[in-house]
Amino acid sequence: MSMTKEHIKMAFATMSQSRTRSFMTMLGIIISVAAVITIVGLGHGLRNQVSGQIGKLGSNLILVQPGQTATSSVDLTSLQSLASQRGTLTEQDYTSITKLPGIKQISPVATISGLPRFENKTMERASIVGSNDKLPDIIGKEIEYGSFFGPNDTNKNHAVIGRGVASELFGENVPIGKSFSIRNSEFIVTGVFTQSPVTPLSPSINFNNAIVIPYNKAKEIGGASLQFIQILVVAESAETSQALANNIQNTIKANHGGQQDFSVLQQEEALAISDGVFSQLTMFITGAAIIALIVGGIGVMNIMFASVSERTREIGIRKAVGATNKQIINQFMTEAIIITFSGGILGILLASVTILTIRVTTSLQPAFVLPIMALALAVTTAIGLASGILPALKAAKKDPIESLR
Amino acid sequence: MAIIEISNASRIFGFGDAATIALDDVAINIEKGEFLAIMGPSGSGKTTLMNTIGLLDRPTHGTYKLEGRDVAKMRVNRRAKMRRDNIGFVFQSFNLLPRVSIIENVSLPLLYKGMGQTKRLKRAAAVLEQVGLSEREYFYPHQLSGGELQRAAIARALVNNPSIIIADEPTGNLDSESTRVVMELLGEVHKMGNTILMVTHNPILTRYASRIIYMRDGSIVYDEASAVGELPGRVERALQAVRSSREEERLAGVSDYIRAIPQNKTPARKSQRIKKQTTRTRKKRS
Repeated sequence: MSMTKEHIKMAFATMSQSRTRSFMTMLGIIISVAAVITIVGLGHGLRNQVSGQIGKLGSNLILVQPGQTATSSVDLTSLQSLASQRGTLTEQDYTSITKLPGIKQISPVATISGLPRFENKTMERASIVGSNDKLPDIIGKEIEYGSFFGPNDTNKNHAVIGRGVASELFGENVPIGKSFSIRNSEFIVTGVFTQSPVTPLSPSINFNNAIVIPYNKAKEIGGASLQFIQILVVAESAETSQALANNIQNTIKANHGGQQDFSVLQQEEALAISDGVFSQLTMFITGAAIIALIVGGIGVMNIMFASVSERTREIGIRKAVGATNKQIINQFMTEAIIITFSGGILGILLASVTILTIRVTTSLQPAFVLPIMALALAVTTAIGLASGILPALKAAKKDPIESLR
Repeated sequence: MAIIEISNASRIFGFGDAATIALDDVAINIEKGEFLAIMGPSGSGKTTLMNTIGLLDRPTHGTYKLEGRDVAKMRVNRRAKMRRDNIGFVFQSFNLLPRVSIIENVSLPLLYKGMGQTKRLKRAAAVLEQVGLSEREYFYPHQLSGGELQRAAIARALVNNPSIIIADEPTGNLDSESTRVVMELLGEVHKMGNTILMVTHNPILTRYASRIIYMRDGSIVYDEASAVGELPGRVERALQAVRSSREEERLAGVSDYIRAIPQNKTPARKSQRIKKQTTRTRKKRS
C-alpha cells in the first residue's frame, strides 16, 4: 500500500516536472472525455425536455399524426419520414374522429402557410397554427398575458402568440389588443403564451414562434395550405384509452382506403420514439468518442515509451538499489494511469464548464449525467492500464548494467 | 565463514567468434569486514566481477554463494531483494536521481523495502549526519559538489545496513581533496565492521584497503593482504617502477638532453600562430 502511495507521489512529481508535456499527453484524453460527457449530457437534456413535454400531455392522450412512425426499431430516418409525410391527415379524418364515443377532449393542430405582417414588419419564422379552445388544456400550455380563445370564439379573428412572436414581430412583451394581418385577414392579439423551453429534434411545434388562431379561421384563410400536424385526443379514462386508439385507427384507415399512412400514438409510444432516437444518437457519439479515446491512449503509450527511454539511468539506479521488476512495472503503470485518470478528471471539469456555459447561454438544457462521468473515469483508467503495460514491461526488462553505463 | 564465495566463475559475453571472456575461471572468498581493493587495467574484468558480486550480473559458469546462499541461479526478483538487503552501491558517476532531494535519494533502498515515509526519512537523516551532510538533506543533486554527491551516494549505500558495499572507482570523478574526504569516510565505514569492495585505478588509495587483488584478462593474477594505512609491497614496487621509468624512456630514444629543452610552451605557440595565419590568409582570399 505504502508502495502504491509512493508510486502515485512519484507519478505526480514526474508530471509536475514536465508540465507541458504531461498536459499535451493528456489533451487527447481530456478532449475526448469532455466531448463524450457534453454530448451525452446534451442528448439526455434533450430527451428530458422532449419526454417532459410528452409526459406533460397526460396518460390519456392519443396523438394522431400524419405519416407512418415506426414504434419499434427506431432509426434516425423516422424523423425525416415523419416530416416528409405531412398532409396525409385531412379535415375528414378530424371530423370523423370527433364523432367517436369516449372522447373527453379533442383538438386539431394544423398549420397554414402565410406571412404575418404588423405595420411594415413580417416574421418568416412564425408558424401559424389553427386549433381550438382545448389546446392549452391538452398540451398543458399556459397563457402569461391575456387569455386563450374560448368555445364561442371559433369564428373570431383572435390570435394567441408566443413570446418570440411578441418580441420579434411587435417588438414588445405584451402586444395585447394590437392587430396584424395574415393572408390579408386582420387578427387581434388576445393572449401571449408563457416562454416554453425550446426542444430541438422534437417534431412538435415551437410555441415561442407560433401564432395560434381558431381552427375555423385557419381553414377559412388557409385554404389548400392547411396541413394537419397532429390531432390531439384525450380519452375519457385511462382504461378506455386503448379502445379509443384502436377505434381511431380503424376509422382513419377506413377513410384512407385501408392505407396505414398515419400513426396513432399513445404516450408511451411517443416516449419510446424519442428515446429510441436519442439512444441511437448517443451510441453514434459514444462510438466516435471511444475511437478518440483509443487514439489518446496511443498518444499516452508513445510518451510513456519515450519516458522509459529517457529515464534509462533512473531505472538502472532504482534496480541497483533493489527495486524488483514488479516495482518498476508498477511505477510506470501508475504513471500512465495517473496521466489518463487526471486527463479524465480534467475532461469532466471541461465538460462541466461547457455544459454550464451551454445552459446559461442557450435554451438547451444539457444534463450532468453522473453514470457517464463515472464510466469516463473507469474507461480512462482502463486506457491508462492498457497504454502503460508495454512501456512498463520495457522499463522492467532494462538491464541495470547497460542502464548505468 | 566467508561472506562471498566464488568458485570457477566465468562470464562470457557474446557467442562464437565474437565471444569475449570477461571473467575467466575466477575463484575468490571474501571474509566479513574486509576492505578489498581491486586493481587492474581497463578491460581486465574488475567491473564485471563487481557486477557479479553485486547481483547485477550473473556468471555464465561457476558458483557464487552470498552469505552461504547460492545466488548465481536465483530468479530475478529474488536477486533484486537480495541486492536491496545485502548490497550497497557507490558508483564513479554518483548515480543519484537528479530530480529527487538528497534525503529521498538516500532513503530509496528503504522505499523498495516497503518502509513508511517517516521511518525512512528518519533513518536517511541519521546516515546523512554520519557522512556529514545533515545540512544538505533537502538539497537537490545539482546543488552539491562532487565530493558531497559521493558522500550522499555512500550514505545511500549504507542506509540499508548492507553486508557488502561495492564502490566502483568511487573517487574517479573527484579532485584530490574530495578523494581524501571520501576515502576517509569509506575507511570509517570499514572500521565500523562493514565489508567494502572497491575498484580503483589509483594505487595510493590501496592504503585504505586490507586486501588487494590485481586482475588481468579476466583472471585474478595476484592477491595480497596488507595492513590498513600501509601500501602493500607490490604497489610500493609498482610505484618505484613508475619512478624509474625514465631509464626505459632513455633507452627508447628520448635523451635527458632533449628532455632538458623547455618544450612545453614554444611548440604550442607556434602551432597557434600558424593556425591564425592560415585563417587570416583565408579571410583575405574570401
